[in-house]
Amino acid sequence: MATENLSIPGNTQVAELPRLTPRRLQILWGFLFITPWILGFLMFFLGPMAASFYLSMTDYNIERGGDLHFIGLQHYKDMFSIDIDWVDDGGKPEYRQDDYQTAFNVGALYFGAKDYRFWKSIRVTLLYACLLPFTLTLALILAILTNNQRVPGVTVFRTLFYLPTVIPLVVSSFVFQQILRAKEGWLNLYLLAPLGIKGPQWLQDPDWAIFALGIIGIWGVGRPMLMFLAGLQNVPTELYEAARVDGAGAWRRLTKITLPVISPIILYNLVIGLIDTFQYFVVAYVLTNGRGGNDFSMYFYNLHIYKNAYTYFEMGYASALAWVLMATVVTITALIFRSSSRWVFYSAGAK
Amino acid sequence: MSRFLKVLFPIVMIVALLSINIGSTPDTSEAREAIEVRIFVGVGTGYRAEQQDAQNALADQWNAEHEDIKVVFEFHDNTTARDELLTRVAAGDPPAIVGPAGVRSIYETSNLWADIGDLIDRDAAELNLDDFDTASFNIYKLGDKRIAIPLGVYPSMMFVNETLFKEAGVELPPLEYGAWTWDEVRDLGMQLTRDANGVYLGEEGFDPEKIEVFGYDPFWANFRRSFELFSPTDAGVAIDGDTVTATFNQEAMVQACEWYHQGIYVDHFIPDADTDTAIGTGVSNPFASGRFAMGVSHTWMLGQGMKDAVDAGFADDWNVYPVPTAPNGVTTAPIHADTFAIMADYPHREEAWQVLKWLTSPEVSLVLNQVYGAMPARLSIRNEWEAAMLDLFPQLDFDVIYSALDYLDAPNHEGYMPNYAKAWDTLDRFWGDLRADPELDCPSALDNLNAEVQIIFDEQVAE
Repeated sequence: MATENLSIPGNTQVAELPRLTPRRLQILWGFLFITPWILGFLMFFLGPMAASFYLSMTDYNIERGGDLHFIGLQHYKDMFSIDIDWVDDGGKPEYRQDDYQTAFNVGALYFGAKDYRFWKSIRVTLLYACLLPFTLTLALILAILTNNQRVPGVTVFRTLFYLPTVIPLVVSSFVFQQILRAKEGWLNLYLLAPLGIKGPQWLQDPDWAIFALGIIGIWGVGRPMLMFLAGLQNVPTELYEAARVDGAGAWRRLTKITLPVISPIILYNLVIGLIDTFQYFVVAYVLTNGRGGNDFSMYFYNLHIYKNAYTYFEMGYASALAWVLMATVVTITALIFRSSSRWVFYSAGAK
Repeated sequence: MSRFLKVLFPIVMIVALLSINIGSTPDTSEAREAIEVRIFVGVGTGYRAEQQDAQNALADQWNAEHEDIKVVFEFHDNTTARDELLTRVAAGDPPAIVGPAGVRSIYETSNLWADIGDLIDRDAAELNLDDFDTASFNIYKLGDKRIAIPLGVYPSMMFVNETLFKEAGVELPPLEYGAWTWDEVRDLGMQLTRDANGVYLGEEGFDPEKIEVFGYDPFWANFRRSFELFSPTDAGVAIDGDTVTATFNQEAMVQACEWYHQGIYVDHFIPDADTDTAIGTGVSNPFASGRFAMGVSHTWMLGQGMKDAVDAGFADDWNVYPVPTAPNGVTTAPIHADTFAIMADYPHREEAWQVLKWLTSPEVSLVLNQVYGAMPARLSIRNEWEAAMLDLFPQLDFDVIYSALDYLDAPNHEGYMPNYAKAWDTLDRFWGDLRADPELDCPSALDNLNAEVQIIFDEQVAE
């Protein structure tokens, strides 16, 4: 380290001070300029996260205010406390603990849990996540169609497909509530009834609720469609020309050129889509007025967090649920990224 | 740019940013002297646009006469008011007073309210405690804690659309308590139900998929209120010392469940949850949609939307009739009660108490009760309240309204439950399932519900 020897004449020698080199000065100025961001990050992101983690290990209840006690990992234990019972005589399952209730059953195998709603919310969230591939496929199809300049009014179609994403989600949820009504809903009344089909109770029937949400999900394909469109427009045209010369048909060009080249976009949409799925809340809340639907058919994980936090006032438990959600999302995202080396192609060779 | 300016410029920017925040502090010398007492309105009634002007006028009147305390009414939509209030409590920014708050709001968050027992005793003469209805005064006693002075009560009655009765050629219900039953409501309801083509239930060609008028609707109701009409014992919560037992599967509850469920899916004179929501969307109150012939509700219907509905063109003849008698022979007219309560964490307790006394004073509570549609808890102003209501609704039968107090539910259907919020949410979930699941089997479903609620009770009792 470059230093300067400072000494007072005749006596002691003062400690050596590091000299501010231009490089060091530049670094200091850089930190100075990002200090506001660092402060904001600490105050509004890292700080609340740390507080939330601490609260997840307490019995914090809003109603009791400051009277909270450290309980360690009890919330996490309660979450994952389950019992299994085999019931083959049509009777009721009997669990080890009296406060366990049935979360779900697979045939005669019954799974009971202390927080059965936790497991129901996971089931509903995972079911909805299964619709993600269909949503992304539809977005890709629409992107391919709107990438064709020979289609008349293609820019109008692109705008129309993207327009729903700028409409507030609450507003569109209210509109879909009318569309999906069983008796006087527009879908059953004006689309299915003329075809002689008696439409199901989309929002009331637990067997159809997820499909109803899938229909609403189609409303939001504009954003991934736009990302796919951008990717499609960056596919080098000479690859297609060379493929045509070699006799490749449309399907082979799609599977051997288009999909590999836009695979980074597919990865991006997949990750963002999964994060959105695990954070699904507004639509389910609005459609069910916070109830989560009949037989918990639209009781998403985030709704469970909301219920525990703001209906039951159990902020400590809600914090624990939030941390479990974060860990799950991070794990799944990490697994996807890990697998991406096998199916994502970067044209420059980067990873 | 010189090196000096390169150094000076960012320093000047940072100083400027800091000075914007420091320098812009307003001159609050005048505000520091006046303590602001904010009244959070929305957890119950009082938040609607047509109700706000009168409340704001009261605040202006107080503020003109007081320099040391400033009163501000803040209005929050009922659907989000509770969440907003809890967020502020969690953030350490509670309002001074919350109200009008019903029994449920108070019991659900019982630890949030200040104990004002000592202040009530100190100012008993000024309050004139003899002027209060004893039953309503005792509602707000939580153990040894007294948290509020009652403002108003809302007895319940059967709201009847007399025009629909006349159109169907059906005789109006009796005006005496004990003169009709829920079975007779069912019979009348079926006679009043008609489809979009004007065909009545039971006539040839009736289309149950296109019902235009329903005989009965439990509008704006919840599980406990709807089932309380069938006179269950202890409102489903049996308290014996420290033991609390859920009894939501008792016979009266099963009878209620089957009455509603059959009314929706077999007899078709009650709408299911989906249809009920559709009809209630976009109208000031479902009864004023003109699509329900009968429905039990409370006097807050009179302050919440009925006047505006009438002004907006609801021209059907309507009136209030006694609630029917339950199959077990007991008549119960569930009652709601509203009050204002001081938040325990609000720092200026004495100032909030001065405002609370003012809110519950005869002059101010008369105005507020008219706005909220509540029958005053103060006996001395009930005649004036009645006169004001008759000005708005000349046809109202006050014999029915006052007599309803003789059949109020005690314990109250919104009364104490351990782990209140979670238990209430579970019960209301069942209410939604009942009105949306055609396959629901009432006895077994209520057994499961009762077991679940007992577990919820035991969670808090064990703590």
